[in-house]
Amino acid sequence: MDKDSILATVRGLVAETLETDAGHVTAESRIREDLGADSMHVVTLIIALDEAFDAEFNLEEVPKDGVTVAWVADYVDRTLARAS
Amino acid sequence: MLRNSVVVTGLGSVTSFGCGVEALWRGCLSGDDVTEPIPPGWSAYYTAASRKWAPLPPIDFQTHGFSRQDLLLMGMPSLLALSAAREAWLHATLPGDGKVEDAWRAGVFLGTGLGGAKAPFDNYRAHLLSGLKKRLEGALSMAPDDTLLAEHLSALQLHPRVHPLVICQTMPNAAAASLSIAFGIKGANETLSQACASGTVAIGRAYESIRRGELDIALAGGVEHLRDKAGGVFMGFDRLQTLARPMVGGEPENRPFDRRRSGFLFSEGGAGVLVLESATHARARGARVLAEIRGFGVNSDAHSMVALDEEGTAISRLYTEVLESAGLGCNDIDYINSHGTGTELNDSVESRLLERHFGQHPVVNSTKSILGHSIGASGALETIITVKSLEEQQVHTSCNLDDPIADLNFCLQSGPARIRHALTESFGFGGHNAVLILGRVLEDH
Repeated sequence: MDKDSILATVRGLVAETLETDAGHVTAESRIREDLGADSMHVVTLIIALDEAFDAEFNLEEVPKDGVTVAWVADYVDRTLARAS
Repeated sequence: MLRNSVVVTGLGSVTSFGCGVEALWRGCLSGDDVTEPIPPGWSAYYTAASRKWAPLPPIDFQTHGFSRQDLLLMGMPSLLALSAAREAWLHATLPGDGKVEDAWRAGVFLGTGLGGAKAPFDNYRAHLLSGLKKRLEGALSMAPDDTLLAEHLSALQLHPRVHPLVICQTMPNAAAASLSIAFGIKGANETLSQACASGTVAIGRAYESIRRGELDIALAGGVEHLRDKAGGVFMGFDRLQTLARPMVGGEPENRPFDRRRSGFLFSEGGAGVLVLESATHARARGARVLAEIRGFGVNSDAHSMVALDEEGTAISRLYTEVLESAGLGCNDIDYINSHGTGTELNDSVESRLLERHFGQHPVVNSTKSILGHSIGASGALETIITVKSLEEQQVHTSCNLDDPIADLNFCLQSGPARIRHALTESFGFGGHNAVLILGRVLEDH
């Protein structure tokens, strides 16, 4: 899966998880600070990533602050590359 | 109906007939067959003596008001219990915003036998096989042309993912907690686990709490979900020789109280939730009363982990005590919704005790003869059926009862019945016995 497709999927999953309009979610959006995600939302996002990309994503690897949608997409890309 | 009496004002269920009490009630009156062959994949792990089960139909939870987030986070017991609770809530005409008026005077009492047993089964199964998978991958890299080895490896394509909430999904109290959170209920929040008697005990404990004046209103019932990917729960019951085995000639094997019974029909599970209120509370808000709970009792055989005490000493005592607490005699009971599992010993003991105490007067049926056994949900579903029977003055048939083992007034064809008071009972692994008595309430009350 190429990086643009991953980013598009991640944007959709973030919007779905936070129950917000996908138009509000950009690559630069910070999921906690800008989009209002709490710790349960982050757990939900991890589960959604697991399901969508059929890989194991680890909460331990997600920084506490400043996580943007683009960072999540890059994290997915790195995890998939590690698994293959 | 006395001022401090406890009444039922709402019902909700998810069963093999789908979501909704109306589907459950109509299905039981018709005696519809819900059995299917067990999933083929289960036979890859175990050769079972029993071949059928009663699955739940596919449920589109999003059409029942669940968000994508709910579906990602919650285990099936929570989803099933919430579906049933929402129906019961609306049926009781409680506020549409889903919140109780006085959260501290409301409670949740939910029974479950195995809680979220499916969650660890499904999450850790892949991990248990991952060591073997690595070895096979190593062997295949040394012999890339070995097609048989490649075939074996492809059968192990299990992703070793662990759901971050596997512990929360496994906790037996997760479903009760989900109800408390969803409805903002801050009084009692209790999970009762007495195996097959769990749902009955939960309703009884809610009844007692309201009757003592501790609560005004409660969501009470039972939930169970027993489908896991490898059929682990099914094989456990099968190994114990508790499940119904195929009949020669393909006749239905689920036949409680029949001489040719061989065990119970394994159900995928379900949920039954009732709204219980003090009569005063129900009257003040103008709620429609469906039935009154007249008595409840629980005790223990102190005899065996899996078998009923053949003497039935504890159950006999329970009948006497609960009838006395309800101010009723044996002849006042017009309908008995039995535990009626279809296992050899259970039906033998239960029918003998019913005959001894109640004789031929009350009409008797087994809801499990239709739905199979949903363990912790069964007592709640059978209480719902008992309420519907009182309300509509009808009793559903006891299926596949061709040659009864006792001279009881078994209901062999669904139809009208005059019911003033009804008794429903459950007996669980570990020796738990529970009895509820319910009474008819006429509209002018």
